[in-house]
Amino acid sequence: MKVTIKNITKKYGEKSALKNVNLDVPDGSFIVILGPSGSGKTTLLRILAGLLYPSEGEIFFNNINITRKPANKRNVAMVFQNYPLFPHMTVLENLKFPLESQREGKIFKRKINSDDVIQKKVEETMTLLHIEEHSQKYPSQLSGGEQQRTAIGRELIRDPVLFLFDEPLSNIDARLRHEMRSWIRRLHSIIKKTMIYVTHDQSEASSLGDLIVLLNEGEIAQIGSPEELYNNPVSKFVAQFIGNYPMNFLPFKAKKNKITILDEKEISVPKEISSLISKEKIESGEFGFRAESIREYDPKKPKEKDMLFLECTVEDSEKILDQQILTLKLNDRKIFYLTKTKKMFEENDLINILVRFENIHIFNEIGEKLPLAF
Amino acid sequence: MNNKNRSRRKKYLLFVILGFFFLFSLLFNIGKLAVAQSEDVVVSDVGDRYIIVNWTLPVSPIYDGFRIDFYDFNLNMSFTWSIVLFNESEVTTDEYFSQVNYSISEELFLSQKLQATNFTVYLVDTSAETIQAKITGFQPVQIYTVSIYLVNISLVLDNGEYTIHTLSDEILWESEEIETLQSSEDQLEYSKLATSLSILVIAILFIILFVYIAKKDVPFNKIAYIFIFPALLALVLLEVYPILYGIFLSFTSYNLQRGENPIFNGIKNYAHITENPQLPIAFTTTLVWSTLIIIAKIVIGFILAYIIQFKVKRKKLWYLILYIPWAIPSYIKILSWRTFVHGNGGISFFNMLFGTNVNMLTQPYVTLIIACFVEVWDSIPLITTLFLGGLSTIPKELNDIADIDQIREGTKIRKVVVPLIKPIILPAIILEIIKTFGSFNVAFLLTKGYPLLSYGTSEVGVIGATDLFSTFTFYMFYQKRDIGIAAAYSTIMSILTLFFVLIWMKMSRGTQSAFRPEKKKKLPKSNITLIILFILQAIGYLVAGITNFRYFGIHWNPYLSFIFSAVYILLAFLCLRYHNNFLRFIKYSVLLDLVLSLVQFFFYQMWYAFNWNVFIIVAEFYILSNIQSSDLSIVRLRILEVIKNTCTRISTKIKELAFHVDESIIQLNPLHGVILVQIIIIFISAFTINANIWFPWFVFSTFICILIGSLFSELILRLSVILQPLLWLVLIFSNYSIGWIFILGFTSLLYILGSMKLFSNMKSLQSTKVQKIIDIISEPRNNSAFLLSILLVALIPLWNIFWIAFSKGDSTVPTSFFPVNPTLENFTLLFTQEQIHFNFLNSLLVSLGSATICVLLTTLAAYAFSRYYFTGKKEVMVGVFTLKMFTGILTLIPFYLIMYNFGLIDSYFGVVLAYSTHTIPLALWLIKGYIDSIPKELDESASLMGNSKLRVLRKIILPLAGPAIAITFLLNFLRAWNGFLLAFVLLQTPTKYTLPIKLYTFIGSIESSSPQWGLFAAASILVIIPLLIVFVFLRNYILSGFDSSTSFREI
Repeated sequence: MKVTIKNITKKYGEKSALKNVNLDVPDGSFIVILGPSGSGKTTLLRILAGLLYPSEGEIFFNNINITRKPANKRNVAMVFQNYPLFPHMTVLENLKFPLESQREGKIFKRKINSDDVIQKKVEETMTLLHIEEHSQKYPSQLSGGEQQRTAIGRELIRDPVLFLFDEPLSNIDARLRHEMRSWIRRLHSIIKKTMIYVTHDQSEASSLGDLIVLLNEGEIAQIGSPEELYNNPVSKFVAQFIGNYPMNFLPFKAKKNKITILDEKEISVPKEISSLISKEKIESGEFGFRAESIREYDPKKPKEKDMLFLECTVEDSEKILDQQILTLKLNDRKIFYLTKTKKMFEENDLINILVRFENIHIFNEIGEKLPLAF
Repeated sequence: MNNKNRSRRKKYLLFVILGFFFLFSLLFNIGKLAVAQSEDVVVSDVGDRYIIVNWTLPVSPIYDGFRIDFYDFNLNMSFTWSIVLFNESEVTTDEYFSQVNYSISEELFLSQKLQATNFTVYLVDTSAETIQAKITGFQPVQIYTVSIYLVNISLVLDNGEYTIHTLSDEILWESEEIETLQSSEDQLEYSKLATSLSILVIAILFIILFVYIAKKDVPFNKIAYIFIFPALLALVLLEVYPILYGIFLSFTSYNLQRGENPIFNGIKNYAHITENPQLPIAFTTTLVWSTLIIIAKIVIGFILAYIIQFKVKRKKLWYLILYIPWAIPSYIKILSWRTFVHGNGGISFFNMLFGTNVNMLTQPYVTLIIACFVEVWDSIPLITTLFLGGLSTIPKELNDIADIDQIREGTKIRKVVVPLIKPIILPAIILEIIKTFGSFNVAFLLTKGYPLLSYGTSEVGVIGATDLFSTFTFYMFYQKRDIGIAAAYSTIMSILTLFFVLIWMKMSRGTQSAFRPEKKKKLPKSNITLIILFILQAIGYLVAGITNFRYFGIHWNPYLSFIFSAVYILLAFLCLRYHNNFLRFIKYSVLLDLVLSLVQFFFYQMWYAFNWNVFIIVAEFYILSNIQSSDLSIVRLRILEVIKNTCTRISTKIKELAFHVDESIIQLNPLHGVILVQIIIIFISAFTINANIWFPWFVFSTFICILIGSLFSELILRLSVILQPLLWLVLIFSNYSIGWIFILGFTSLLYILGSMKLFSNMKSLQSTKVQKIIDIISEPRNNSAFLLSILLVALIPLWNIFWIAFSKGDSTVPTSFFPVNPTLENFTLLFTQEQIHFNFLNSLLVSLGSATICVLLTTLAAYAFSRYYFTGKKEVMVGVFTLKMFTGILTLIPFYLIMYNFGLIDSYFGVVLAYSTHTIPLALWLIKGYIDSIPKELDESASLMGNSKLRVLRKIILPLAGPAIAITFLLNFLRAWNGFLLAFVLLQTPTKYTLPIKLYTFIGSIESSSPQWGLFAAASILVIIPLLIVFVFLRNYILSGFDSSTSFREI
């Protein structure tokens, strides 16, 4: 089902949780809403589910305006972070409950099932979820993964038009989380329903989603595939948020075609950059580059031309399995440098690093990225 | 600037004018009073079908009697009602009622009625001084004049029948045109209509407002409005409306006894009240009562909680034992204390035990103290729970650290415990103050206001030494049926309560988290109010000094009044000129005034020292507390500086002194304490009974000598063992009552245990067996002994009740530990003669009904409050909680009238309605809290599955919130089961009585002549046992429901 979000704004008193959000979710797609905590992603999801009413704006399911319909009339499934199974019902009763509700409450009239059909559906779902042996247990007797699978099964069984996941894996331990992630991906390929998945974990987002919507303080910062977000962030926020390590930033000043960094130290830059800067009439801004794109300067090799050369001291080194993360000091700024070298560094060692200009992103004063094309 | 000054000047001018107006109105009132008395014939009352006329006998020519005529303007005819004739022979009469009464030297007599052939004749003694006639035969709502003639008559006896021959007549008096009132039936119709209309209007207004707010809110919240609607409507109709109605009634002349059409008479009722000398008396009693009780409650509650929390083992057991008395409904507890202390006109178990002569009908001070004691004892469990709750929030580590650092006990309490629990306890304590201020049960059930005060008489009746504001209001309402006046009293009381409530709200807000630094307050604009108050007080003192008008100013000395008047003018000037530079000085002088005004209550004749100043001062303090001293601490005048320095020096000295006392207390042995207690007890006992015998006094002085000696030398402390045999000798040879023997024996035992410990420590006994035995014996330490003695005090009246129930007859004084010939006669009587099982059924019906309604209303509302964020949610919650403060005696009168007008008096339904809303705030909080703890996602996912809200509630919330709902049900059930006041007022036929009323009727109020103690005691036991069982099993839940102060902070 196609979901359209139009100009949604949600205010809590003076504070806005969502500011004028517009989004189109195509039928059958898997969209991940990503953002730091407090960015409004759960609010957006709850508005979609009908649990919250937006202050302004409208929501369309298949071009039908359902903004004023409450949750129980939308036929939307939602999987919560804390897998809310009804504690007073067994797994079997939990799975049956949605179908019985449909029958007793006479809701969604097309879908009223007989006892046999219910029984069959429950059994099918239990085999799909591998929880057959737990059918008579109460939720408190299950492990976290089993509980979450049951919760998902409870939503699956009633055949909803839209799946919403609200950080469903954040309460599950790391190993199981990986397994569940691939299981959800497979689930999507089987049932082919529209799914919207909220998370604050970018690795989860990039492994699951076709499309990531990055939210920041109630506004959409960028929409795109994981690779797009990583390689081509549109703003400083995206650049900082995406990636295992925050991007390194180096302020520069531009005066009459001269570009200086670090207390008036002039550097030579490729033509494309200087012409772009002069074209946009920028006086100061920041260079951004990722820790992964830094290379150590090898005095044996000749210095390449289109590279940024920086002389730093080592402040700290952290070893993670086969990698090292060095915290370098450049004047008063910190620079993260990810390396696979076996060399050991001491504090205050001198180290020279290089960054290719094609790996450098240029941001203006207010944090917007300049379109740079090599 | 100029403009500002001008506006300020305008304000002063206005104020001065107001002040003069006030003074003039006072003078004017006094002048008016003087005129209204010089009439010989007075129409004292006008009813629907009668007019009452009083007259004193004129000193005039010879006459035989009076003829009373009336003229009917409707028929244009004159009628003779009857003739009052002087007759010497017949003075007494067997009738209980007569239309004509007369008085001889202020004693009232009934006249004899004689039916003559042509007239009705009333015979009056020749020495009669005043005559009162209730003239009947009128029609409602018509105009008449009444005239009295002096007549000379001859009474002729003819064939056994009397005939009257009038010889001459002369008019004595003719009334103005009098309109008779509406008949009571019409009036009931009328007020029924008025009440239903006003209820309808209120309901419609509420619904319109409600719908308006609901319409403005987002569509998803609509269901929440539907859920809270029933509960809010019930609260509006049964709580808010009565409060408004009560305020309205206080401006009318509503009187149930007189049966006239109530008219709106402005502030006449209030004027009447302020003229009544009983108001200050009742107010003083209430004030003294509240202060004594609050102080005692806080001290005892804190000590008990501290001991239970930190000092004894088996905390839970002590806790349970302490709470057992709580399970007993307070009406039984209070009545059992009456049985114990007062008994049958002073023949009581207490008097027998201690050889005293306590009689609560004649001894004002003793009675007040006993009543305070009973009230404190009644609420000690609750206040101890509050303190325990506070103490349990202190991290255990802090206490341990204090012990490891060897901080002294006193310092620990002062520096660690009290500051930590203060923010939690303070709102709860203010809540207790509100409750104590409006307390009714003890004063009504224990003493009913007795003993009467000789100077407490006015035209409305006599006031007693334990008559509180609430009981006096109740008396006005229930005995006098004077609704307007009673409503005015309760309105005044509501305003006072509101004052406390405001403080409470401010405090609960301020202490949301204990140690958050407060935001800097802005300087308030209330300076002008402060100045006005100061000038008011100055004028008040001036008036008091000149005219000796005692409601303002200090009553000791007129010169003191003048001095204070000057001081207040100075303060006002300081405030005006230097703004707040002298804040501390102002505070100290106001404080001095407060202390002097309050001290009057205790030293000056207590019930006569009422003073309005106290209120003004408290208001001033409220304003002053809003001004922060740090902003304005620069003191300019040298004198003030000196005063300030002296103050700080004195306060440091006091602190040092406290420190020293602390230090020396820590060095004392518990034995010192025991000896001190013994000294006090010997003193009291010797003083109360046989003060003439030399032996106790000798022992008393020996004890004191040894105590003083032992403070300086350890040897004397060890020698003090010889005191105990001496004490036993006293007990044997003097005529001590059994109570004193028991108490002194108990302390003696404590002493021996303590000294055993002392000796064993010294000799460091090697033999482990001996050591073990001593350890076991001296295990119950002094703390446990303290708790045990409190428990003992709690249990004695209960044992007294137990004894009475199983023994024969109506004796209240036990003669043996167990009844000599135990019998179940009382119990059989209860079921055969009294048919108490019907009362059980009544109580059950009322309680079940009220609890069901309460739970139905609150569960829905609590769900909405827990899950939705609708407009005005917070305000509604705060409103519901504040409403709770005003229920009780305050809404009783209007509630009664509403029920009266709807004909629901003496019906179960009225009582059910009355009790159903009582626990709504508490229930709301309990269920809401419980639903809050159920994950929100549960019902969200259920409603995502397509369930409607009602189905979600039924299938998910109700099964999960079951325990909370059950407890709420139980709480309301108990409230209705134990409720006394409302049921007492609303139910009238004995067959409909609930249990509390039935039990009360067995022994009646304190002055009743034939109390049936045996039946009361037996019924009490029947009531107590099931309650005890319920309580022991469900105590945790029940206790959790009582601390509503914490709930307020959570809103």
